[in-house]
Amino acid sequence: MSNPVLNYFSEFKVLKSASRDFWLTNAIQFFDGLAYFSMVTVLTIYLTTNCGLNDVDAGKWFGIYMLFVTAFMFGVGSICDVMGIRKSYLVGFSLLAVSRLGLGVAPVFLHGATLQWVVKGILLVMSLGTAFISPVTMTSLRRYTTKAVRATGFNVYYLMMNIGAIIANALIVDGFAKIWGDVTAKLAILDFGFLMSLCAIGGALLLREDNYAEPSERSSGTNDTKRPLSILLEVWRERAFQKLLLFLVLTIGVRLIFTNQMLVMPKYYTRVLYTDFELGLASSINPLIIVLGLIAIIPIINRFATVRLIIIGMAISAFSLVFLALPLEWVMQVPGIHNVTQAYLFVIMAQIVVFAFGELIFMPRFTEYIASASPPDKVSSYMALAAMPMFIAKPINGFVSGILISKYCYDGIRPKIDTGNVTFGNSPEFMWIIYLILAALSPLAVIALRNFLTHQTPVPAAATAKEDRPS
Amino acid sequence: MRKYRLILIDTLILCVVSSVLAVAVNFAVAKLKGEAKKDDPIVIAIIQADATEVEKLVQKGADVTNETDELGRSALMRAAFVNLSAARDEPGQQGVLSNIDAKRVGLVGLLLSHGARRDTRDHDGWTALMWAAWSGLTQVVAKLLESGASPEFADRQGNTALIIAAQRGHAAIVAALLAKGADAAQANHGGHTALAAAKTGLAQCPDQAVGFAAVIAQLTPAQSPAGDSGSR
Repeated sequence: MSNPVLNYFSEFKVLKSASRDFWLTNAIQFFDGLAYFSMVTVLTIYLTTNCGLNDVDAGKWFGIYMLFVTAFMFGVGSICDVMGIRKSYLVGFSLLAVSRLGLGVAPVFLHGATLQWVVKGILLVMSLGTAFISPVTMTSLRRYTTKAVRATGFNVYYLMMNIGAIIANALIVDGFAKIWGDVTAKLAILDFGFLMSLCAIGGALLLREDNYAEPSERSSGTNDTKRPLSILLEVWRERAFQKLLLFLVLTIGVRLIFTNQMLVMPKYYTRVLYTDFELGLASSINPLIIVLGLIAIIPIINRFATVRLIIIGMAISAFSLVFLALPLEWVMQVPGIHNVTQAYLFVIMAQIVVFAFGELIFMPRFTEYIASASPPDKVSSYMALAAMPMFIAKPINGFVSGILISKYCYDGIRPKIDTGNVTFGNSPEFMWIIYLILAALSPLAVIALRNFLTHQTPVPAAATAKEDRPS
Repeated sequence: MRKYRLILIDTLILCVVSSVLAVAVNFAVAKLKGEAKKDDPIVIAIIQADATEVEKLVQKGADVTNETDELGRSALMRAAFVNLSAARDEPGQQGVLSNIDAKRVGLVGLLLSHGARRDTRDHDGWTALMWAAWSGLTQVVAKLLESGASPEFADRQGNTALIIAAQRGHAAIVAALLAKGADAAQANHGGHTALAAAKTGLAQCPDQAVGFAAVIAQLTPAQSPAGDSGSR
């Protein structure tokens, strides 16, 4: 095999023929990625430190935000088909601009309960804006690419999104914290998000609505837009859908780790280490590994069967939590580790790297599995409804994470750890035992039901992966 | 327009379902755990180092005397706690910790002047002095000692403010505590005195040798002839 890096990028040559609108879509996504990824890294800490929500309420409202993003996305996907790309982008980014600015300035002017209710309201507005972006982008990328270059176009999009995540975390989150300090930096990050939304609006204004790279895909103007609930009613009774739903429910445990990256990790890092911990740097390692993996590893692992890779990927992702669940005294026995800070840094880095590797194997094949388990004429419907189990799991995890953090990883736990006042049963490590058990159930359940799940399901031995990132 | 109407109706239904789901989960969680205690607004103002807001809240009658959080921590303790990567500033430099210390000492003074109890203990037995000793807030420690805070309290593990400061290598705080009569011979339940804690700290963090060496130098001549056996 020749150089995988050259192989990967040589594929992009075909995009020389891609239209200006395709590149504008990528630029819009890049701006939004900078705003989105920097915001989600600090949102839970912002809700507590800047707005005064306790850990339980912060987790709860982050969970509600994610719940409404998913709920709105069901409906907004259909609205975007009717409104068109440009208008949908403008509506979505206008809502995001207003809400990001609102979050950025509200704590300056408001205090106490008033501030908290205003922020909760803004989170709901932001969830509607966020829900617009993903479906419009998918439509936009399809419309502005020919069938011949579409797969490459999506690869560029995923690459740009991950690069955006790296820059947002490493430069924006940490850079702003260094300039303005921990508390004010959160506001600056949200204000930066407002500016990025304005840039995205500028880009959206330049898009041409009537540009179809494939003229055959131009809408006939007939009423072919489906009602969101009709999709559900259409497939609800189908055996294939029920099996897919079971598969998705079984995998919730391990997929919760993805939401934990935003819900639990920021507070965990800053409380077991220190409040000025480089949160952005830690959060940028995951997308960095994904980018490198997309280039070097995906071509190799694509040779293996989908379900096997899903199980292996899930097992690796779940296993990553073992590092966080280890008693600290055990970690202190590792050569080169002399103190509590080093021990926590070691387990955190180990978890990030191992989890990213598992995600790299698991996520692309997960999306592929959903597509392959769907009847050929209903792939879109199945894909849209695949979010359903997580729709229920997200708010539950939001609430549960808040409770677990407030009990096992409260602000001020580090001094108590240092002085031996925290037993294992009350430690952050115990919190991770709970999450580890939930996560480990997923690969075990899929292994146990593998024959049932794959029976009569067309699973390709090796197919081209479409890398996906959780929103 | 009909297209929009049908889609909006469905979206509205989804929103209602989402809201019902959120309310149901909230209800279930509240039943399981009970309503979580809210952070006192004054604590938020302290974390944000917003002296004006703290003053305003105190003037409005915020209870800084008896109010504690779920872990038994008072506003004074929260004002005496920070957790920064640098345990101390470089000698002779005005760094981040010194800046925070300067802000927090004002807040601590304000809280004390409005009746905050200096020796309230949280569920682990920590006082505001212990939080400040761990955090390396030299001026806050001095302020608390000046107001009459006792250096003699020990937590559930037998750690005193002196042991905690020694374990972290805060030489100036150790000096302040010794000057106020802190017992250098007192050991925690593990049998470690402040000197032993400083030596362990030095072994664990050799990169902070200067701070630990200064602590060890202060504690070595101060030891009683009974050495490390003075546990109580």
